[in-house]
Amino acid sequence: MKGSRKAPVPAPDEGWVLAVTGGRTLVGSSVLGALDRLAGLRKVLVLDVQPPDSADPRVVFRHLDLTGSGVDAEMAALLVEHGATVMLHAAFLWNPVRDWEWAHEVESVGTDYVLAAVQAAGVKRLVMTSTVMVYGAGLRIPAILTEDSPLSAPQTLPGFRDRVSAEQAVARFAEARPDVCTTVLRSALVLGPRVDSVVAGLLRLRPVPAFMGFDPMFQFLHPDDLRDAYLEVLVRDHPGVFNVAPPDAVSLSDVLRIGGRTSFPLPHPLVWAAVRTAWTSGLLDVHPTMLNLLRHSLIMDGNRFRSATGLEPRSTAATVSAFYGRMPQEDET
Amino acid sequence: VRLPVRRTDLFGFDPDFHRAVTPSLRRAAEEFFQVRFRVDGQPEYHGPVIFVANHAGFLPLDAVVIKTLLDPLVPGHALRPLLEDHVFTVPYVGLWLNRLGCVRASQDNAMRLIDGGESVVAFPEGRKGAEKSVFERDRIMRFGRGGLVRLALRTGLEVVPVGISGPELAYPLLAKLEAVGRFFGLPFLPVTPTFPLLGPLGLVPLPVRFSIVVGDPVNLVEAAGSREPDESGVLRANELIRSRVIDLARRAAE
Repeated sequence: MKGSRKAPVPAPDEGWVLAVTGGRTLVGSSVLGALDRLAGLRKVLVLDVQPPDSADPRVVFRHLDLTGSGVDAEMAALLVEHGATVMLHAAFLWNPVRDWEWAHEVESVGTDYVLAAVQAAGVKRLVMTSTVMVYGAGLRIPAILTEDSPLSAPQTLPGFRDRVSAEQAVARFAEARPDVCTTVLRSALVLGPRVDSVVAGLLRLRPVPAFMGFDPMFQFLHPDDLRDAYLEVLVRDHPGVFNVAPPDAVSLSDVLRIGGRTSFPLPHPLVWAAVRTAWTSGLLDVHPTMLNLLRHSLIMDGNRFRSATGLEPRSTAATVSAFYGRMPQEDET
Repeated sequence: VRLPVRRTDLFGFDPDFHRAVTPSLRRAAEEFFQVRFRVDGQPEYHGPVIFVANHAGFLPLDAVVIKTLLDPLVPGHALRPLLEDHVFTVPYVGLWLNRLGCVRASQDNAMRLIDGGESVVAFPEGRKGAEKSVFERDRIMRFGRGGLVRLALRTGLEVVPVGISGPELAYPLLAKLEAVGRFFGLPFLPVTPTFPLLGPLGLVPLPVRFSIVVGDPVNLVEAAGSREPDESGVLRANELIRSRVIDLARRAAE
């Protein structure tokens, strides 16, 4: 990884303009909620199918559907019109959805359009949101994932295969256009009181279902650390791919111990069969491959990001206690 | 106030658990299996080493016993056995082994452990070695495609051969029921004289005598000719270390 150049954004005197796709996603809304921390920012152009949840006068919303045709020209025109120099591409799904064809149109084809628009409009910095899920899940992935580990989601977590192809398109773009500072952040699973995800939903249950004889380890990122990571790469040059992960991992049983919850152990083969049936019949929106997360750990090495940015995401243990509404406690030993 | 969490490393190794169970494992090895343990080579290694052993038995009893007895050879560290995939899909067993320090065998995982200063135990016979029936217990299977040699050459570390005999008789594998096993997420359901006949009780190992012999370190870089050898160099080094393990396993069986 090349070191960060720590150069401020080349902004015109009146400030710079940020463009955002996916303004209502977790990353999009977190960044839109912290615009004061983006020094010199003049305007945010939100390109989405729905207006963002923000009353900030700097936010300008333009309707743009990434599944439409010719959106690249439309997007490029808007970027030029508003003078956007930084693009946060956050229009990705954080939970696998049933409508895989639509997901493919948004994530995979949509990213191609975004890249074409970024190129045409002369955007100087591109940030893409990604997730630990692109590495896939299950036993056969490396026990500790680095940025160079293979992306096996297409085989092991098919709900995230379009994110992988979007990442591959961005990687090709980054190689072809070294003049555009391109950053991809692969965040660990995010856990917070207001986070809506399959895993967060699971951990809110009473009791929490688990697999008999399995106790996978988790890394959870605090929503504030997720936000801070994006704020950093939006204003400073950190070209490349980074895992954003806490330094520790906590087993499911310890997560429940912190939360004061009990688990309800179930035999894996039966649950697998039941969830597969529920998914195919439309009763449940959880794809059975997600069950891999409850059997085998999914752990990232976050050193590259920590040393490049100096940011230190808080520990999984602290994030879990905050999630369950307990006071974060200091480890005295 | 400390949060009620185990202090594991990112692989899932739990040093407190390891410390707590090691005395009982040692007693089980010495009293139940009456292990004969002999070290012919160096008595201690400072800095990472790759131990290489033959495989004996479906449940990785061999790995646990080898680990328990060889731990004192790497003072200040816990040996990290590298085990086949199927071990980690077995409920409770995989979890317990993971906390004890066992890791799924792969180049990535091994490199990372060694880079972190840990010593590993490899079982290059792989699954074929773990699934030997009681009738083929004396055969040492092929050492895969040279993953061990590649690891040794990449790290430049010494490789210490280890022979073990006994565990294959603790669970004498008579037959493998593949269809039934697949239903439970296992590669096969093992049939031994006592399992599944006696139910969970049949998983209690037979009290046979174990024997372990640790040999002299082998320099595979020399055997292969260079650190980046051609295919024949890799195979030559592979056969060399395999023959050392076979010798030691024979001596262990005597």
